[in-house]
This record gives sequence, C-alpha cells and structure tokens, in this order.
Amino acid sequence: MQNSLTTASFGLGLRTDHYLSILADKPAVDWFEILSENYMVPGGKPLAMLDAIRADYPVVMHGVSMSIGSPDGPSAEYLRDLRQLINRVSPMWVSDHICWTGVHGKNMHDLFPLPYNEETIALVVNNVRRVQDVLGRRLVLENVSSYLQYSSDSMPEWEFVAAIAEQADSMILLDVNNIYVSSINHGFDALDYLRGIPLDRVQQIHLAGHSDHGTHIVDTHDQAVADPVWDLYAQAIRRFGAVPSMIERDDNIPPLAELVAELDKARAICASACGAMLPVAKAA
Amino acid sequence: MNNTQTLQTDFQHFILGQRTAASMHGHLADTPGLGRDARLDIYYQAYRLRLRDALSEAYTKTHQYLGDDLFYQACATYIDTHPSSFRNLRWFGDQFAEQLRLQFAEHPQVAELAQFEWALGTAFDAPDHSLLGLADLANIIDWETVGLRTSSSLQFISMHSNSVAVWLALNEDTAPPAPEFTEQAVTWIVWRKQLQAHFRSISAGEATALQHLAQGQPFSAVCEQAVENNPHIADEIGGWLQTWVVDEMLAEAVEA
Repeated sequence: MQNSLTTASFGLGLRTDHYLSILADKPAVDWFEILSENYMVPGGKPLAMLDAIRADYPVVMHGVSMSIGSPDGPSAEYLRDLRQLINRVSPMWVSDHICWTGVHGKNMHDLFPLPYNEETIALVVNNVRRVQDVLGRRLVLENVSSYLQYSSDSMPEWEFVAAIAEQADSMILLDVNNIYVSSINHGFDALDYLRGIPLDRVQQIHLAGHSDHGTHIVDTHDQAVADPVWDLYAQAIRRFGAVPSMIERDDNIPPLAELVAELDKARAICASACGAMLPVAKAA
Repeated sequence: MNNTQTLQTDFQHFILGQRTAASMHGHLADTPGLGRDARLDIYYQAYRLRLRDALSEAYTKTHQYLGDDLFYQACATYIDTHPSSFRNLRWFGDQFAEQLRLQFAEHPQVAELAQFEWALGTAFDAPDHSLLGLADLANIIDWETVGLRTSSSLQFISMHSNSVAVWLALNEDTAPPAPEFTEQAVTWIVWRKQLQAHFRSISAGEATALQHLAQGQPFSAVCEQAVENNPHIADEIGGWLQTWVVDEMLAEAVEA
C-alpha cells in the first residue's frame, strides 16, 4: 500500500489568527497548508510570518484563483508569481481546484463547478499540462462542492475528476466534506464517488465543516467537521490508505488548540481505519 | 465560442447582475429538490456576501463609523460597479474610498477615513527592501550627489478632516469625535516599521523634502530647496534625517 500509517501526516490550514500561537507553542501539527494568493504579495508581515513558520514546519500550497477550468486558463502573470512563491516556500506539493473562478479578466472569487463532459475534460487537461510545464511539477487538484448541475453534464463528477488526473497525469486533493455536501445537494451516493477515484492519485485529503440549510448544505468551513463527514473520511482512508489529511477552517476560527484537538480525531479515525484494512496477523 | 465558454460567460453575467436567472435556465439540469432559481441564488448571494466581507475587513473602522446600513449600502453599489480583476480579495476595495468621496460628498471625513485605512493596509504588505541604518550614513562619501531612496511603504495623505482622530477613537473602542475640518490640508504619512503600519502628521517642509527624495533628487538638492522655501528649517534637517532612518523610512543610499 502506497499510503501506510508510517507515512500518515496531519496538517492544518495556516490562518493569521494563529501565527503567534504557532511560533510560541510549536503545536503538534505535521505541516501547514497556506492559501497561495495570501502570500503572493509584495512583502511585509504575511511573508515574514510565513518564513518564520516555514523554518519549523513543512508547508503545502493551496490556491483559489488559478481558474484551471477557464478557456484562457491561468494567466502568465499568475503563474510567474505562483512560481516565485514556490521557490520561496519549497512546498511539499501545490494544489488548486477543479473549477472556474471567472472569465474575460474578471475574478468572481468563487469556485464554480464545471460541466462534466468530454469538452471540458479536454480544456482542463490542456490547461493542467501547461501549468505543470511552467511549474515543473505535478499539480494537485481538488473537487469542489456544488449547488447546481448543468444540462451539458454527460458523466458523474467522479468520472470527470478521475479522467483529468489520468489524462493530465496530475494528482487529486480529495475534499471529503465537498463530496458529502454535493452528495446531499445532488442526491448521489458518496461511496460511489470514492469508488470512482483511482487508488494511486490521491495526494491529500481535506476535512471541513458545513452549514445545513435543510433543503441543501453549504460548504462554509465555519464549524467543526460533522459526523457524517468523519464517517466518509474513515471510508476514504480504508480505500486510499493513510493519505496526508488536514482540516480547513476559514470562518468562526477557534483557538489553535481546538483545531489541534480536532486533528487528533482525524489521527484516531485514520489509525482505526488503517487497522481495519491491515491483514490479520498470523499467530506465532 | 464553444459551449464551456458560453456557459461561463452567461454565468458570470448572471453573477454580476447583468442577466436574469432565467437566462441561465437552459444551462442547468432539472434536478430534484431545490429549483433552478434557488440553486443559482446560492451563488448570487454568496458572491455579494464574500465581497462585502472583504470590504468590511479592509475598512473595519469605516464600517464601524457608518454603521451596518450605510456601509452595506455603499458596499452594494461598489460591488455592482467594480467587478474584481484581482486574484486576491484583499485588493478588491482599492477604489472604495473614491466612491465614498462621491457618495458622501457632504461628509468628506468618511472618504478620508477610508483612504487612511486603505493606506495602512497597503503599507502592511508593501515590498520588502533593505533599510538604511545610522551606520550607513557614516559611510556616505559624497553628500553632494547622494540620493536616499525612501521606503516602498511610504505614502502621503492630505486630509482636511479629523479622520485620524476618528480612527484612533474607534481603535480604542471609544466614541469617535464630531467631525472637524481645517481650511489648510494636513499631510499625514503612513509607512511600515517592524512589520506594522505606522502613521504621523508631518509639516509641509518635511513632507516636501521626503517627496523630493522619493522622486530621486539628491539629498543636497532637497536640503537646498527646503532652506530656500524656509530659511529657519536649516537646523531641523539633521533631525529629520535621523528620524527617517530610525523610523525605517529610508531604504538605501544611492547615486542620485
């Protein structure tokens, strides 16, 4: 198995509220995930804090504005600045989302779903290859949560995600909360989603909280991970092994210790799920 | 345009309020549960909420000063007229103070407060550079030709109102003072020192000297001009220079 308990690692999203706690307390977090655009700035405190934290922890980079699914793809300027940050941080890997964020030079600052069909696969694969050539590394792409489906969809989302990874030779950031949110909003079986993702393509797992509006669920990242998402996480670990996992919290941010404790829950579930997939030991 | 391009263009027009939800219906699958309009509305509202939050974060004190109703009204106008081209939401509000200037023309302290807040934010993540130290001054060989490059974070703001006093009061969680205005504008400088944004008011003579330095004029020419404008200033220039260096307003000595 590629991902075993010995290679398991658990991260948190780096948030400004926690800078000082991290530097003072050196919490038991294996790595931090940074939002790339927050550090693609000219200078000052964000980069100074990042450098200080990077001296103590490995970092992965996670972008929200690449717009890999736009016909024009990411701009040369965006990729130049992203590359500059990569050179500064030496991240373990670099991720963004399978989505589009704007066209005609505009940014809607949202992660809009793409139509799941062959035309879009070709477009995204073409863009991913270009980005991978520029960055000189594989890109890791995350499934987004969604609230609508297009009439031009011709396949389920998991087939779309898998096809892009296979054809572009990219990796997948599996957001388990997003799978759960979309499964409720669109009425599919979340386990079908997991079964549709290739075993050897999952680089990282995201966990996060959501808000239940009764008629639909919104991916808000403003509360603790919900029980059904933990259950789905256990299923994901049973299928993909102990993939590096992290918790995202973007609003209503609690003290760092609370998130570190929530991360311990991920460690326990991962250990238990890995135990469930290990062969039974022979008696001496 | 192919299908994906058409879909994204139509969707973006809808999000920006330039097309109705009905114009998107043909692009959407008819799915059980929520109707198409309700599903589109989740994105439509999220866009406005996200940008409003970004403005509130960049203009915390202006938000406090105006209160929710007026601030959100100003945000709604700005969001409708300024679609973002930035990769980082942090920069979305770069024209907001200008809009407030027009919107609250009778209350210019509002726009000046916003302008001040934006300058603090800009200083916060302005480009890094080396800093000129007092020891570096001793190494300057030719004071006739040397130029002193100013910090990339240094900004000048000209204000007629007491908006900085308003900002300070709000920062201390106390009631802001009533607006006051001066005939003559007061110049404030904002810059970054030890990773934090700093600000202070500055005399016209010192402001002109710093601005001339920022334009690349040699230090000697800046001094000559300052003394020409005000002969009494000669004794102050040495003090200015020391303050600029200690306060991290100067980047390096260069051949001007």
